Amino acid sequence: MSTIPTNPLARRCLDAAYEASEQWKSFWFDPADPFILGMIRILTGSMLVYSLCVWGLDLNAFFARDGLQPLAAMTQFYQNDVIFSFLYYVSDEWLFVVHWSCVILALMFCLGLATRVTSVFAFLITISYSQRVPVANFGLDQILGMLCLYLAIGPSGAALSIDQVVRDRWRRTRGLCMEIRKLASARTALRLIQIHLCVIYFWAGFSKLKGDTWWTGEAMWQVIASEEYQTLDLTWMAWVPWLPYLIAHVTVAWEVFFCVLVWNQRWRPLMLALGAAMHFGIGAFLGLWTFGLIMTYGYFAFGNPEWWRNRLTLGNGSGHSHTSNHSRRALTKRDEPAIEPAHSAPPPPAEP
Amino acid sequence: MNSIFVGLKKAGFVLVNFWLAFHVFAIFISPAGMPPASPLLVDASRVALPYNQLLFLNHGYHFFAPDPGASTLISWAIDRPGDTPLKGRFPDPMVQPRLLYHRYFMLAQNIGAFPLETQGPVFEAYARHFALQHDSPTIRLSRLLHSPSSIARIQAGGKLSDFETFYEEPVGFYDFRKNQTDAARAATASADF
Repeated sequence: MSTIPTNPLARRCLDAAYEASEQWKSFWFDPADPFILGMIRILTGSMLVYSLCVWGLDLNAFFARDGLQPLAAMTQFYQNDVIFSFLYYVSDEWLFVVHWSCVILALMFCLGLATRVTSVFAFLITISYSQRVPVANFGLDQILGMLCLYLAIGPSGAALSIDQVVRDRWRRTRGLCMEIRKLASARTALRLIQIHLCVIYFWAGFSKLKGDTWWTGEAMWQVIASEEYQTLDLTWMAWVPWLPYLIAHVTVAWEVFFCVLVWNQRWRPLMLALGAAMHFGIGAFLGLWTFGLIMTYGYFAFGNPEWWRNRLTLGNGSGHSHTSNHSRRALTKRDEPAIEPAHSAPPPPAEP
Repeated sequence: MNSIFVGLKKAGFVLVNFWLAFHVFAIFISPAGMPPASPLLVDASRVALPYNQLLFLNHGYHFFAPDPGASTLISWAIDRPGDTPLKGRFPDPMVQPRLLYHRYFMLAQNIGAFPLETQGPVFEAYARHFALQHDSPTIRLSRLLHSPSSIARIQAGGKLSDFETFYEEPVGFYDFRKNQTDAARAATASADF
């Protein structure tokens, strides 16, 4: 018995719903090259290792039971919240051992060793440190947690990793074809990073609209004139006040419109370039290099994997010769016809 | 067997789709509940709160917003009999690497994020830490608010570190000898018993 409605309106609604469902599926699950996830993993992993090493410079002050954030006070602070941090269960005697084990795990994640497991550990380590000392956190920790979560969800070890080198060697010894596997989970992880960045900038922009000083333009001057942040003296801007006012207005406009314009192929390079300039400025003038850099790492999710693969593997595709759109592990015999040459198409225009 | 596998795969795919929709809702609604917000937004953000807390996604992303405002530092002083008090500020701007300085700075800047009943023990922990660093049994702590200088002030020859831009708010005097004495007394009493 046919279930196709005869009513034209119902039919149109059904078509629209079907179309929307197909677009949803394509948006989230169209197989994608995991190369970019590999890049983001290396960068994020390096930042995690660096951040952990810096925690390690004054480990007891931050994490000891009677340190600057006493365990009893933190437990009371979080008593009604659902949080995860294994550091609440580590005694002071074991703190050093646990900390350096975390550094090793983070290093393994960065290098792409047993990535399926170490990526989950990297996420748990990031949130454990952050939730043990909540007031020592800032933007760096929020973005690090966000990226580690999505790198644990996606196949971040499928490219630019020791795992990949081992897998390729195994294939080569068995005479199997070296192919670039496109994965649905890679697309999902990249989309989650893209959307999360849009959410961050949307609220960063809208929250500024709550304050008077972002409307009067003084906010940027106040940031510049904050001695505790300043690493370079920018007080000369007091004699060109229109400049901090302009930077304040451009910052708000850019943050508010990022979530719309970054999806437009024409606007995307400009939006990402402006963002990179802003974050490098934050690094250079406010000494927040770690925050500035981690924000730009997420921008790679908007990049073209093929373009980056061609550049970073010097055009040899890291020993891969074919592309396949498999969402699952696919092994192809060397004598089978190539599905799609990885480097046959000319590289697209430059994208960060 | 095969049909069961296909059925499970389909169910899994449906669940993944529901999770994606909920996740996007959760990360979007989390900053919306931050004040000022309508009761509707606050209630909506509470729906996703446990999920966001568990995954460390409950952030407002209010970078330098709504207004950058003053910086908060901790100032300490140790009395020395017959000498001028030893004074210091936390964090020390000379601390390197910069990330470590920034972590310390956040410890001072964000202490107001704690409820009042948590601030007390945290200030005491800071006092103990600074006192131990300088081998002193007593210490005085203050909260130091440093307002950014205005453009007009700088144009008139002012400096960012001018005395007038600081406002000091005493936190308390901490004497750790008392605790030691109490602890020692308790230990002796129990030993005598």
